[in-house]
Amino acid sequence: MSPPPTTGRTRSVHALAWWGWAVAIAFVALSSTNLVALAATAAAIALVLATCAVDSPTARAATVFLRFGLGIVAIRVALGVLLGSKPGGHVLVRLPSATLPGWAAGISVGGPVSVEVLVDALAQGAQLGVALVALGAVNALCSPYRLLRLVPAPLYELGVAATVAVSSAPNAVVALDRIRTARRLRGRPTRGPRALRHLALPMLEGALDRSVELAASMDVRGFGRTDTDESRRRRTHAAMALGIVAASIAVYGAAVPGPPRWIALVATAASAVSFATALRAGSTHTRRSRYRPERWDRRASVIALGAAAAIVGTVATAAWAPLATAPPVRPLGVPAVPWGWLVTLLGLYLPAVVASPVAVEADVAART
Amino acid sequence: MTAPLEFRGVSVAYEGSDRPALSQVDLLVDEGEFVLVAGETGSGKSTLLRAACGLVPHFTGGTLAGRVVVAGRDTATHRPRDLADAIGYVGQNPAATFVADIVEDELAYTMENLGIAPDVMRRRVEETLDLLGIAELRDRPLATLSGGQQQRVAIAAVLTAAPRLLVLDEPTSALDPVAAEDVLSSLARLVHDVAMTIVVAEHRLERIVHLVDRVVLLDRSGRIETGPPAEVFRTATIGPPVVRLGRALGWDPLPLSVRDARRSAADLRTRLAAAAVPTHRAAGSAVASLRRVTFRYGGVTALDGVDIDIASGQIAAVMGRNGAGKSTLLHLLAGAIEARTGSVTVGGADPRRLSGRELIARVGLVPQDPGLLLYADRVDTECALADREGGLASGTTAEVLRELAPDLPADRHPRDLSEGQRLLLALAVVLAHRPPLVLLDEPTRGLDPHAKERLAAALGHLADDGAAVVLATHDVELAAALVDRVIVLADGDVITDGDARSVLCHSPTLAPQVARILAPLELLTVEDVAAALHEVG
Repeated sequence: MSPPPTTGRTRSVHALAWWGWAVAIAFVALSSTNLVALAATAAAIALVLATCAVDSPTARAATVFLRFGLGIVAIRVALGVLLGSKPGGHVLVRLPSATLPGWAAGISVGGPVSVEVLVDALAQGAQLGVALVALGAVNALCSPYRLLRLVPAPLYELGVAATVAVSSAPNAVVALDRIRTARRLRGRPTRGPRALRHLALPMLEGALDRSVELAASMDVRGFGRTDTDESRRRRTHAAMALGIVAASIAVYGAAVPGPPRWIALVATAASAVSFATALRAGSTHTRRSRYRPERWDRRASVIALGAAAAIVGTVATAAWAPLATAPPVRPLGVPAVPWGWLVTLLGLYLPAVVASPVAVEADVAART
Repeated sequence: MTAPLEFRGVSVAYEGSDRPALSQVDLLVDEGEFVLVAGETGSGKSTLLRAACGLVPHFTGGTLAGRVVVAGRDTATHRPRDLADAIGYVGQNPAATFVADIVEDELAYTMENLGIAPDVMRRRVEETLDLLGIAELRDRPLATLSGGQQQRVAIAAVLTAAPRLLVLDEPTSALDPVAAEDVLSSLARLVHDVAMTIVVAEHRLERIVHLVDRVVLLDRSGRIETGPPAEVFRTATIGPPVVRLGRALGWDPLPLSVRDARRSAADLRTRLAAAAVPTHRAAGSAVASLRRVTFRYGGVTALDGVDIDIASGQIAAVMGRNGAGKSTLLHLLAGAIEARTGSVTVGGADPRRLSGRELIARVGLVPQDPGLLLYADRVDTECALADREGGLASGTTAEVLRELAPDLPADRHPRDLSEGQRLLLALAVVLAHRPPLVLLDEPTRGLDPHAKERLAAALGHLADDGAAVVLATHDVELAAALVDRVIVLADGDVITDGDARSVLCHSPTLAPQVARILAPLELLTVEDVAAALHEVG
């Protein structure tokens, strides 16, 4: 027998496992302002990316997300310095301060900048930053196209729209480069606000052209073939619409204190029934088959369990040791991370152990 | 059994166009036929192919009269997606049509939409990978493939659905000669081994006429003429060099391949042996130079320590495989990118240090997609814009454009021009500044033979007037007809750099058809042969 290929499908882990991992990181990051824990999750992303990332155009999107994440941290810190000054603490520098007039809500700008304010802003920026980078990282680990393939048939159109949108972002970046080069060829400035205006239009035009071409290609290749039973298709669409309306009522009922509780409950149940009906009807009228469906294997289970452990650990810590997930900024010091929580966070490092090419090759060697 | 494809009295008109794209087309494609669709740019080749798979009018709009029947299904009542199992369509730019991200998934995509059972899918993917010789690419991300590989994957991806008919729109226009040969021989193999029916549109006739059974020739009014290639090309105004040579010398039967022609040319070779070899334009003074230039992107070295001098009064062609560094070389000379090490000098200055106006007065580059150079929404405003950019007298660019393309409508949006017209407009915008160095990246992509002739004439005048012209091209016939010097790049190195005649005649991949027919004589084009015949009497 020929040796198993060393790249691609044979060693890829189930897409849902990867997305579960990313969601767990985002969850941990968003529910804790503990800088040590945030650093631990960021390190998990770095380690897993370094060991498991595949080379693909979407993988390059990860760097865009990384820059975006860093940008958010920077903006949050800058805002904290400008607007968040409070008296007291270890003051680093005193900015000239001014209080805006009443119509601007009397916000005061500038003033003393203390270490405490910086740490607080850093933690809040890092929350959002780490969550974003996690979602970027998952693009480098498994392409969004694979997730699309798992979307149930009736939601397929929605999924396709999402895929086209996702794939057009890297393409726009490439197009921007070409357009910028062409501007230089005509001897025009390639930077600055005026250049930006002239760059944006051709870039959007290019992205739109590509989407249209992609849609034409999908059409000639049989995308969206359904059986001709018009009435059944209409029933599916009606059930979907009903489900969306019911879900909106449920959300409204839960969020607004006024209406009685039972309305939200009934609406939730109604939306669940409608969606289930739509999904059932939809999956019978779209005849699609799967070439090599995603397989849930031991590695996927390990990654999913690790992710679940991190979520449970974070929820439990938040319940029993709230000072650990949201440590006070004063007095200054390294925030404590309870051992139990730290162990569960290590679950986020598991992909590096089970899914890296080295680990997989060792596993294959052990079995043969 | 019904025919794979039938057009009955088909006319197609697009809104806002003064003439029909297709007019009263009757065409019956039989089982197992290999059909070539040829004709000028804008003559409706793409419309014909897109009408066959239902994209016209379902996707593109326009009005279709008559009927198009694919394997017994009328496109009036069947949408493109309902024909996916009967006809496979591969568009001009395969990279833009890929849906999945890995080769194997792309091959399975159509079958998934058709709901084919997993075990059948598995088998067909394996068979198709082998049929097109791309088994080693199965796990590769699509974005990492070369142009020729992408084209073969795109063909494989529609073949897996086991269609009765395969339709391809200019499958080799972006490919170097060797990759184009790979793709076309894959098609020939499908016709001969699997009895696939294939309809293909192609501009570079020299690559394909000897492979096909029938030619459909479209004229400007959207009408067709059809017949075996030897018959159609006897009277057609276009044709590959081998056919034009045969026509000029009155050979019967008309040769279609180099092999046929070479066997008829024994006499000709002895007659012409005494004729003098035509000479090229002489090199003038140095206009630009690259010294030890290295350029990398990503982890790839596009150019590696290259030394090149460009002289005025000459046309040079930069040739080589896809990805050999041709475009990089032109962009470096144009100051669009910066060399990592080494120096680039154009007119005595580093093009990266020049201001916009100084740059466009020294060097002009028409990129592969000439539309990128154009911003305005009308041809005349584009010309006015170019005048303002270079501080030229009003009307200069319009004057240059009138010389290049006298009949270009001034009120048209550049996007609505044909590929060839857009190229000439971009060229006019560049030439208006009278740069002593003019660069063109793949200028003949998508150009029909007549447009190509006009372009070649314009570039010839430019060189005669003392400008230096450099083109990056895969088109050996254009190089044979036009250039004085050939630079061949491979893996970022200059492999050959010398007189066009000797380089082209002695390369197995770059030799034009006439040189292959008449080797060892160093004649490159039909015009060379005519001149030599005139000389020997």
